[in-house]
Amino acid sequence: MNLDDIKKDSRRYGPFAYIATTGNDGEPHLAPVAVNWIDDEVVAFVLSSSRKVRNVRQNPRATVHFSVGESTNWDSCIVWGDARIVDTTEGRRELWDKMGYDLTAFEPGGPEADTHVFLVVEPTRATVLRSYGAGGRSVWKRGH
Amino acid sequence: MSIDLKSVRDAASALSPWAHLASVRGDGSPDVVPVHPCWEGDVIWIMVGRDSVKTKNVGTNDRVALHWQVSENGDGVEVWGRASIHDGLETKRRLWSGVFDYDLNAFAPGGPDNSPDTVFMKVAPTKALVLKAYGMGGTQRWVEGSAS
Repeated sequence: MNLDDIKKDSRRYGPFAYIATTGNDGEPHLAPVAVNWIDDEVVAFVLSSSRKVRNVRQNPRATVHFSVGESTNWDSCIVWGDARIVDTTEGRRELWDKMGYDLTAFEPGGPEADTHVFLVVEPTRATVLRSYGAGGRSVWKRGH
Repeated sequence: MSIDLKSVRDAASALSPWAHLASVRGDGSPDVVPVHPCWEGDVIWIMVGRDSVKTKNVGTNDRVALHWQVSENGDGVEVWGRASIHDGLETKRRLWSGVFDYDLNAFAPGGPDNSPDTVFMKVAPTKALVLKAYGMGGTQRWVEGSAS
């Protein structure tokens, strides 16, 4: 698989995913988020004060697991990557209209408001599991 | 607002039989997999593969988090806990027939006595959050040591 294959597969599961992060204390955290691919990165619009943002500032790695369900035959699409926080007005302006939904409904202050940021995951590897892996798996790794 | 662990359990069970489990690799990066957890009293059991990544992960870092699938209106439950792996025959026999709400034989036809690659992860909860409408409708918390 190449990254375009992963992106295409991930869209089968809808816009919601569970993002896992880990802070300095070694404790994992999971949060449901709406995500979108912008170019070759997975992006979520999140509260600046959220734990996932704090974790990424401490440990810049994240894993995205797109929602699993019967309609997609319990397949999984998992993306591991390097994570960063886009917290400047300029950066938010650049991403503001690219998420596929109206961010103003969640942040009336627009891209100038510091209360929301973008969490960006640059994929390093990904796996598609079919039927929890019973139906096989496909793997992508950056650089391969 | 504080709640007891039974309320957490009830909220999780009402949401979905499915949850996402996060564990941590030795290098500090997180892993996520979907699981079908089942409660036994105040602990959570998950059927896992002996050689699975999550089993290996808890061997180096026993901290895990479970997030039940959120409902359409954004209700969710997250439970953090300490995980341990159990492969004793008596434990496997007990769990096989009385704890899980699905047929484990469908995934390990050898049953508890002849499925050496199947083990169980026990999660002892340490804290939990019950979120309504992604937290916009309120948040309820439970922490180990408070009323269960």
